Amino acid sequence: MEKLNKKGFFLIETIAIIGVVAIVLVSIYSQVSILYNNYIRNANYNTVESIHAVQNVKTYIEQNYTPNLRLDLTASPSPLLDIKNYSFDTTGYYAALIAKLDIKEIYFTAYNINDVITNYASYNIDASFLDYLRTLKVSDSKADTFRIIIVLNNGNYSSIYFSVADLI
Amino acid sequence: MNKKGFSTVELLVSFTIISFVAIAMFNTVFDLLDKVEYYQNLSKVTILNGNTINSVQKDMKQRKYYGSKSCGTNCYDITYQDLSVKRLKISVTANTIQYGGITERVPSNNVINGNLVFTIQSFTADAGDNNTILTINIPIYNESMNVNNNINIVHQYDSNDLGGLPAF
Repeated sequence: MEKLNKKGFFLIETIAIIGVVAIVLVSIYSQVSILYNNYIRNANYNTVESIHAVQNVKTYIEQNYTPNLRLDLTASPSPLLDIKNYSFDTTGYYAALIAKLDIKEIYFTAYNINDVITNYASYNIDASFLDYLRTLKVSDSKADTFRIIIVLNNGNYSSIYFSVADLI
Repeated sequence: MNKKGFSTVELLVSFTIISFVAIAMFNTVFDLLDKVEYYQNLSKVTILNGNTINSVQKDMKQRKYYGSKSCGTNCYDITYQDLSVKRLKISVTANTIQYGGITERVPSNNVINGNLVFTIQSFTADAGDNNTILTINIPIYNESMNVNNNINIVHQYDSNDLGGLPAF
């Protein structure tokens, strides 16, 4: 007859099993954490408030568009032209609009921003903004089409197309 | 047969380790439950925010803003160029927002914690361009999460375009 184990579990066996279970739990937790963080991140993208804000900015720029904007973008060392303080007018309208919409940053950029996403290290872009830019990746190009990207003070992001051809 | 089972030390060590794991898991679960509650609340406020912005903005665009006058504390009658009048009113005590014939209650755990701010700021602009920014702000505060979920509506229009109507 086979000899039976009379000793029960050793402490080392118990610890080993708990160790394995702990590793499994930690790996599950890390996966859930990644999912949760992705959800949080996406919750800040294209919210009602930010879409409303970017639409207002687009309306303003459509009425106050100057070809210099395009030239300034071409001449800019960064493909993201910061237009928060751009001199569209001298009356204070643009500055008031930005303040009322609670906008932290506004960028004017080309339709295709794949270069920014690929070479982000060259353009001093913070990680959360880069995460948002990655959602704007496209595989095509559109002539005379640009993007307006805004960041609100509450951390919301939104963007909208801006077609120069539509202005004519 | 195994007649020894667990020793006291083994049992104590096992229970201690399992207790640590269980406490950690409970903390994580409670933390997640708080977050779920937060995002459920945020979702409800976002719907309220979106409905309010959408309703007002739709009328401002389609009917076109004509003028407005106060109808008491936290109350404005907005007249559109088709001469329809819609009342925008908030009640801090009842925690409700009324626009036109629709009254919505602010979701639980959120309160209207201030007065309705209705401002109109005018600028000089080229003829035919927007020269006025109308802002409506309804302060909403989430008590349990200690965050503001204000409704902020911004509308740009040309105050000289009255659709053939006399000055308001």
